[in-house]
Amino acid sequence: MKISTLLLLTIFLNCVSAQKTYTINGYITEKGSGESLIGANVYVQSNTALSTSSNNYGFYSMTIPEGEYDLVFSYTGYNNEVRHIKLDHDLSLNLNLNSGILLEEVVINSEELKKNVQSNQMGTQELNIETVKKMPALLGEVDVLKILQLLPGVSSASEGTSGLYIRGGGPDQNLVQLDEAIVYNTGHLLGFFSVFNSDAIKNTKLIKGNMPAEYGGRISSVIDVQMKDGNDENYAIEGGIGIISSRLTVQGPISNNKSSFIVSGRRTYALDIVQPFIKNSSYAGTNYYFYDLNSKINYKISSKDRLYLSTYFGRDVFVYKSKDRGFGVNLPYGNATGTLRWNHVLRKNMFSNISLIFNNYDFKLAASQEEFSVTVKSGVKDYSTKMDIDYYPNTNHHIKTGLRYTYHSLTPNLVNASNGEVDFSTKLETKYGHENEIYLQDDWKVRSNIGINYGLRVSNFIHVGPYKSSIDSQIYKNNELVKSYVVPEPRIVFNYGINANSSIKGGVSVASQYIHLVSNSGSTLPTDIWIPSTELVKPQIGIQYALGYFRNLNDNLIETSIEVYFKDLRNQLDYRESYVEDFAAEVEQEYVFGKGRAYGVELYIAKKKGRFTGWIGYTLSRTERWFEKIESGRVFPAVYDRPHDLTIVGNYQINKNWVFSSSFVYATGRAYTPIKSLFIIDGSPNVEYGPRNSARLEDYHRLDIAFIFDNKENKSKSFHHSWAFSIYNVYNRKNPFFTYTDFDTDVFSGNAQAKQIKVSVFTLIPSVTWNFYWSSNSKK
Amino acid sequence: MLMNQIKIFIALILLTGFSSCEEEIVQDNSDYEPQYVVESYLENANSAFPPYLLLTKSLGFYSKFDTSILNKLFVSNAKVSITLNQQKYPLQEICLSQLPPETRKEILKNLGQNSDSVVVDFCAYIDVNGAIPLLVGQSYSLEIIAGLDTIRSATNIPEYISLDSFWFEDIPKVPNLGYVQLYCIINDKADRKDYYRYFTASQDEVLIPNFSSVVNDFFFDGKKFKFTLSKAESGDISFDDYSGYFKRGDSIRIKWCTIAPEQYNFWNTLEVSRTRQGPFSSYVRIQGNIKNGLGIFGGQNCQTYTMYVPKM
Repeated sequence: MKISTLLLLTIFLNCVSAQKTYTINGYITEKGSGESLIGANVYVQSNTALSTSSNNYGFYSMTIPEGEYDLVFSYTGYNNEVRHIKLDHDLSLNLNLNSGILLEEVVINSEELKKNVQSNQMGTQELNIETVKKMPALLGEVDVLKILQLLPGVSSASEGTSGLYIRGGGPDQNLVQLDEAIVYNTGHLLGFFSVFNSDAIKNTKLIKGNMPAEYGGRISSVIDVQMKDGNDENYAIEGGIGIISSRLTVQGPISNNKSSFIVSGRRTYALDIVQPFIKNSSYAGTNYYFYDLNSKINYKISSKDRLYLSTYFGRDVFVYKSKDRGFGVNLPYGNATGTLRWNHVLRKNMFSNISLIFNNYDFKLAASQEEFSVTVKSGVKDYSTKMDIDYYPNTNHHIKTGLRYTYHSLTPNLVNASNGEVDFSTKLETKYGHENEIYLQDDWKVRSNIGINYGLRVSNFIHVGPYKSSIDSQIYKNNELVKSYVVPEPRIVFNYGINANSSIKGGVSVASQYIHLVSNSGSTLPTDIWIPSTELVKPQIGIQYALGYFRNLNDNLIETSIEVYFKDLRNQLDYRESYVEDFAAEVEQEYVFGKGRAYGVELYIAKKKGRFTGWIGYTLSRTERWFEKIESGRVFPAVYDRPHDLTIVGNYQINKNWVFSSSFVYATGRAYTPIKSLFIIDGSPNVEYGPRNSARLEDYHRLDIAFIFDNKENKSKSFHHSWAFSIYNVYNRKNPFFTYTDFDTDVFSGNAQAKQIKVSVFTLIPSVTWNFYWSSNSKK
Repeated sequence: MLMNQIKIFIALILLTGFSSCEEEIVQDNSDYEPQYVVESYLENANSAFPPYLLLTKSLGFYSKFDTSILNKLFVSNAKVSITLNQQKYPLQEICLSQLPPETRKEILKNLGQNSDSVVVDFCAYIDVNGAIPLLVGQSYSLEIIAGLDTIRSATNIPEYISLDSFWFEDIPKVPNLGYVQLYCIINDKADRKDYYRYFTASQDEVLIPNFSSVVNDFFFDGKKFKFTLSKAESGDISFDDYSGYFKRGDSIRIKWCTIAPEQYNFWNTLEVSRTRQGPFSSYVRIQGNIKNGLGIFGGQNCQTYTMYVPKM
């Protein structure tokens, strides 16, 4: 409590100002669609120190001394707007920014580009969906998570998948949010495609570490995905037809400039094509597909109040039938999220948001053979409510505070089986927990060249019954307290500007995590089980230290940075040695607990404006784990360990209609546990494995290219279309995807041969996607 | 198993869209030091074999693997003994080459092998005189002294829980081909953990375990439980739509065992380990119960049922 009191006092004292000031506030949106622009800059042209930026809802507020100013409103890829204002009273000013239709029209905004140097943030990247759509895509499926993999410090779980390892953290240690709702399983088709439909997404923010106090619940990173709000000026239909899926999005005003909606869907059909060929076979009805449905409506109640309701529903559906054997499997799984938000401008310089959030990930497997049947269910369901308040007392402070409550229910593998006469079930029970969080943070410009973002988050997790203790066999009733944890999580990032174009930043952050997942595979799977902290499973704690040098070159056209980090990871989880899935066992009893560390250096050079844009990212890092009960505490490289990771990304606007893009990746081969020896049991060879993750697959590298044809002149018409031609793995590199062992052995005759085989899957893969756009207004 | 099959099927869906290719990986593990491997079972008095123990050595995965190497795997001149109630019973080493041709032929026949095709000189440590009392619930300890090394283990013989009844049913979808499914009922004992393993054989074939041969009673503890038993298939045949079914007109044998927990863990991890192939699987380390070595010293209590599948 003393720390938080001190923090409050410090913030209060820092905000006291004797000058006569007035506030200008409003919303910044895109002209033609009314989409709010997140992170747009507002600054006084003659004094850029007087500046602010729009929040996640496009709201800005700036309190500055009385006077006349030329205010600049800017946003990447959009034309600047300058407004002359006489500030002798509080003002409200909503601004529409026009996206640069033609390249030449986009004004290069050096103030915006200096964010890299001047902001009190580290390890943070924002991805505009238009940038993502220009990149080469596997099978033409534009995937925001796969583009994030091209940033330094981020690597893919395995080839082709959208799983992310960020600064040595596991996939469960990333906080992935879609309009504030946590998405527990981000992948379709065993993670090969992410659940994020690019047509429904507006913005993606990645925080690799040193996250501000407003974020919590995970110890590694934040991936904050914002859905589009819906066009409130024109009706629009857009979509695309690709090799494996098609997309369709409809949006438009419900009441002009008052309310709008967006509905966006995507469905794969790769296996629908084979249905006619199997309809007369024993396998008739076997199929696999996935789909997503995003929707959102918003309503402007008044100039101070807005409501947003956004939902997501996605499913993978796998059906396998073998009539000859009377065998059938039905396996649906997926996420559902819903977020109801109320934005309210409390005062000219104070903005609040209250959200009610629901998210659910559920997995179901139903299999039957003749009269035998089995169903397996698992999942995680959260009900949350949160409130955040943004307070802009002056241009030197942006104070944010908030609290969040979440009710978790986590269902382990609940198995019900029947042999036609008797029903059987596991006696495992759903686990419940209450998570409470409160935070306060201040983004403070101490001086023109010194800034600090500091804050404190305090989290609390209460595990409640029903529960049977595995320590003392005590049985807890419904809602009875089993175990409670409280973790204070201080965060600080400082920024020291050496000059206008370079700065040094450093930071320390503590984060906790109460919901855990241990994947026994190379990637996250739908069968993975999330479990809460209990008396046995303690909260994971991550402490990250980072230091970086940031410099802009060539009149801010080129951003560079070098960041070093060290992560101290406590209460890490893994399965015990020789673990084999057992649906009847409590999974938490199969865990062992240990520690980890990750450290590295990241280099980043980016050119974000002009005909040619792109970046080079290089990471040199190590990620290690050790567990007392795994190989007697030997330190071993985590499966996330990638000592060298290089990405080179380039986009070139060939002319008004054609864009060429390419990406090259190189990474140290994945660590794996090698087979050490063979031994004979029951006349057959069996394998003995060597030390965990002590061998590596070959180094990984790949080049992808894409040509995008988009007739810009047609963009002024109500209907236009574009083509995306993409080639994955241009030089047909045979990167290892997995290995297997092959035995051809007859011990009695003395003939034996054992081999380890590597399999490469993603060889050269061309694809083409056709996209279209129709708008009721000819200007998009 | 089901989950593995589903993962494999989904992987196949994925792979059909791409052209995969394969290459052999060869790594240097010449510095590998072989370990002792023990395979020994203590079975109740119904067993066709007396207590025996195979003592071999493991070999590097990428090692050359021929007859001479296989012959060298057997460890000779070890002192092997099993202790029950502080009474030590030594086992005697016997190799195939030491046996009279007829005896050798008979043993190999029991192992399902043709004596003409066997070129490896098998050696085993055997309780030749049947001196070891095989008692339910008793603890047995194993000691092997091989050169300067001492290898130890322990197990017990669990109480037998018999199959209550069994019968055959035609496969509804394909009744004319004469394949049948074997059904069984077991009365499981309540409030204790039981572990089972089974073997099957048709006609004169040798009894072999199914590729997934062990099960525990966590699901059906203390219940009268009806279940199917699949015909065990030899590892060298390819599976088809009728794998796992018995055929009308066959004489079949079912060997049903209750096994010690350490034997369940060993076979469970071994069998899962064999199926862990592919991109979405992780390795499973086989969990033996041998100190200073690999393998299994396991107690089991078994009974063999012989039955005839009536013709239509």
